Amino acid sequence: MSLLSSIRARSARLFRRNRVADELEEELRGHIELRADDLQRSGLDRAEAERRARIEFGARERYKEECHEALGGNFIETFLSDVRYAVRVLRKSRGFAFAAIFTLALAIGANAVVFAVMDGLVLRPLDVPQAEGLWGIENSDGSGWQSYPNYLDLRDRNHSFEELAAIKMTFVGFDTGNDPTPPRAGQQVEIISTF
Amino acid sequence: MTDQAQILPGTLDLLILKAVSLGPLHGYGVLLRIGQISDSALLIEQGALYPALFRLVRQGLLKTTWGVSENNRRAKFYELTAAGRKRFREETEDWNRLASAMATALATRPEEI
Repeated sequence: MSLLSSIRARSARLFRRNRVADELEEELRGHIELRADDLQRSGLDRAEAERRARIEFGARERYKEECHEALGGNFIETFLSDVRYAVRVLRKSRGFAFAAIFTLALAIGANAVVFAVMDGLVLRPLDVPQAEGLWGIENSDGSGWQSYPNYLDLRDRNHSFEELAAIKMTFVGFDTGNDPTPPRAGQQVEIISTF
Repeated sequence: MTDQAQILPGTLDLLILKAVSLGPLHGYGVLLRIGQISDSALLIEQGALYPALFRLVRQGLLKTTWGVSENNRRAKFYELTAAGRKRFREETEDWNRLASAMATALATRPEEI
């Protein structure tokens, strides 16, 4: 079946559903009127008879839904009517809806935070043995960069760590070919060395 | 009202087939007929009848025609199809077998064991 004819078949079914819904509505209304006729004959006035007939009939909308399901409503219709029903109920009790949505949002947020922390610390630790023993060395003025001779001194007098490594970062230029000076873009390159 | 029994799940379909087997009926008529033939001992919520009717139509056991009720209201009438008559006979036999088995079981006295 091509997409177009499938869409056509589906919309035809939706239209047929409308006709079925009209017929069902007429049938149920007819039932209630017939019942009201009987109640009226037993001595009630018409308005009271109709009211009583509607009560005796029970949850009309629910039974209508069940009738459509009995006819085999397709997935989309069932899904849409579920959504419509949910929206209707939520709109009827705004306070409850707000509380429910707020609770869900809070719960999802809290879960996301806990998961993010767990993900970083437990599930994906740094890919080195004993990551908890990995430290960066900074100057006491807060700048992280050391001169190379400084690094050599630190390395030679090191008693605190098993080993020291230095990182060197260099800015490089990309040449577009048209005009070698000045470089169009700069990029940082990391060089990790264990001297 | 208090002497009415809730009907067992699954028995409503058979009651509807029985009611309709006695002649074509509209939905309200089915209820009246069931009340009449069961001495009003069975309690069915009126609306609950319709999903059952629609199910039976879907299964090809009932067919429908629009007509006019005895007090001149347009109404949908239900009647048995050939498949419906066959199913009605089968289910009646099944039900009778089950009912007599239950009756025998429940009537057993200690000295009979």
